[in-house]
Amino acid sequence: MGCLCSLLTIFQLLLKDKMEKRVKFLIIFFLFSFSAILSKLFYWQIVKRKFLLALAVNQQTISYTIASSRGKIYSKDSFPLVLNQPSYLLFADPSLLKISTAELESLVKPIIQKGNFDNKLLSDKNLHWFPLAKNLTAETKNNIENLKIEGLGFEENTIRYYPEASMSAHLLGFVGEDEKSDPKGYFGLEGFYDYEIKGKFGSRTFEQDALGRPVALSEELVEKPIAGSNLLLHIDRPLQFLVEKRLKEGIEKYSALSGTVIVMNPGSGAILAMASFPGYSPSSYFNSDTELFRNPSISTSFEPGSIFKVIVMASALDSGTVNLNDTCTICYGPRTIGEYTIKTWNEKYYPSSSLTDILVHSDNVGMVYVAEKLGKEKMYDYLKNFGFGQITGIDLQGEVSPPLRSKNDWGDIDLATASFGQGIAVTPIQFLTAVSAIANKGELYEPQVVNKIFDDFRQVAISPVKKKRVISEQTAKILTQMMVEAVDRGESKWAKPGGYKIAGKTGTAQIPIAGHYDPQKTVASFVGFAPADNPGFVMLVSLNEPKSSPWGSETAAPLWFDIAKDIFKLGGVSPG
Amino acid sequence: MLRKIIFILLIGIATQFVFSSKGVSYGESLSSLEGRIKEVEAQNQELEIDIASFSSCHKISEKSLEAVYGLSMQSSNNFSVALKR
Repeated sequence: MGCLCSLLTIFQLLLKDKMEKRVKFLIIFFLFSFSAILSKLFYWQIVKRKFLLALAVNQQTISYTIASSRGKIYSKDSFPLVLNQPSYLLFADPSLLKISTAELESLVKPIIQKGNFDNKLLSDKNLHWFPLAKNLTAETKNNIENLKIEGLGFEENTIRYYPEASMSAHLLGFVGEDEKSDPKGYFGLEGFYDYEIKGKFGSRTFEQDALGRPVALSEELVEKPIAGSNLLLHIDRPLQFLVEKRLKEGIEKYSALSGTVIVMNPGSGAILAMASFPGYSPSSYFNSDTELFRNPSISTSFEPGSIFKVIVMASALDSGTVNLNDTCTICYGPRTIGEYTIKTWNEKYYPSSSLTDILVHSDNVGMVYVAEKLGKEKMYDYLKNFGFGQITGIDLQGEVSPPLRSKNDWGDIDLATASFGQGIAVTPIQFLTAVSAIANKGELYEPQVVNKIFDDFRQVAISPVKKKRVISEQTAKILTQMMVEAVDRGESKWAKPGGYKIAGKTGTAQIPIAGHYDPQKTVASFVGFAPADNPGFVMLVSLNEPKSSPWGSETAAPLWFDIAKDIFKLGGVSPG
Repeated sequence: MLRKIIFILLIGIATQFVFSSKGVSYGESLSSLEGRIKEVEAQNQELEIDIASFSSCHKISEKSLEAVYGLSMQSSNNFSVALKR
């Protein structure tokens, strides 16, 4: 019995031991499982919190962008050059359409005149949205709505409206779309001031159910869009209109390929008018050759020819390497430099010419004399100071600057040809800005198109930017008088309006083609300012490849004087 | 006592009715105001476009050309009549 008892005790002990082991095992198992769950929860709730929250918000909410109203652009007289107007996209919901594609087309197409009526897609009842036509006016929208066709809808957006049609297209630029199909400005002012004009897009966010339908009682989060700022320009609208009109007529009259006119206030750098042809219509830019989008005034370089003589002459006079009373000692005939022979444009030579006569006769040999006196080093320094080889900083998108040959690369022939504006490239705006320094008593201002940026709450006036003094006041005065003589006694004197004191210079530059100059293809130019003693404007006229005459004095100069007469009339400037 | 409680409850319900209906009508008038503002803004935009279109240099030039053409047509008619006389 005692033995049985002890066996039972041993068994009980064994059982107890086994139970304890099982309990221990279970405790360890539960502890491990609990820790695993806890660590996983920690991972999801703490480590991955942000990611999951974003995922949940993304699943539960839907957000729509609310477009902001793009800023308007006004000319100097506060007339709108660019406005916004509502435009509509017509779409069909094929799942709701009750009529056939043919019927739909016969009803809608006569009103919209265009559109995409793809029978296969419009018959697909699983489709909910199919665009039929865009950029429709409010009137067209009303006409379509009156048809009461079930399954048609409209999406409203805004497009740019140009009251002056294609006027100032190069200056304004246009509004296209970016990679997210949001409006974005390209070229000109729209491109340069895109950040200011576009404003800030708003958004509307609300909760959605599993099928993507808005939850009725959910909280809606609305971030209101902020309208873009408006621009007030220095552009004189009537002058811009007249400049464009005259330029068009001039290109036609002289059978030129293209042309550019820029009018600037030399005292502030304000751009009063800027036009180039051929141009494009900013409202239908997508129908134009992309090459036309570039503004030739700031994006195209050309060899300036004889108009460049005023810059070289100003540099030589200012440096003191020549004096007004000097006479040319090499002007008796052609000048040979290495293997090149430099002649005058009409092969007439004026020995012992004064510096003024060199400009009056537009004497290439005389300019070689001046440049040789100036020297390569000083020539380079003055050209740099006048702003060549660097962008002017005008507030338009797309400005380029042709490089200026580095100081060590100037050979004798480069110095000689640069003295009369060949072998050196500039943009029209660079050149006009440099000449404006002569008109402005030697002080150079940055060219500016925008006068003020404003909206309902703030106004930011853009002050004129004086860059530097490039020549002395005395040099500017001497050069102005020389340019007055060049107009009064030069080749273009026949076209000059009587009674006005105008300082100017003609230029005819041959166009380099495949390593040589084509004498039949020229860029004819005229640069000048008036009234010479107290200039209200400085203007550059440039015609590319005029056919009626290759000379600047017979094409660009008369066009310059015609526009100048318009400016005098607009500004009430009387002769005398 | 019970009557008093019922009375107070009724007063409470009536007050809630009045305030909630006021709130609803206030909301409605706000939304109609917003709609009206949008309408006026659209009208202003339309007017601005019309005024700018009619007073643009482009349009004035077109109109003046038409007027000059009209005048020249009139004068040439008179001139031909005068010649016949």
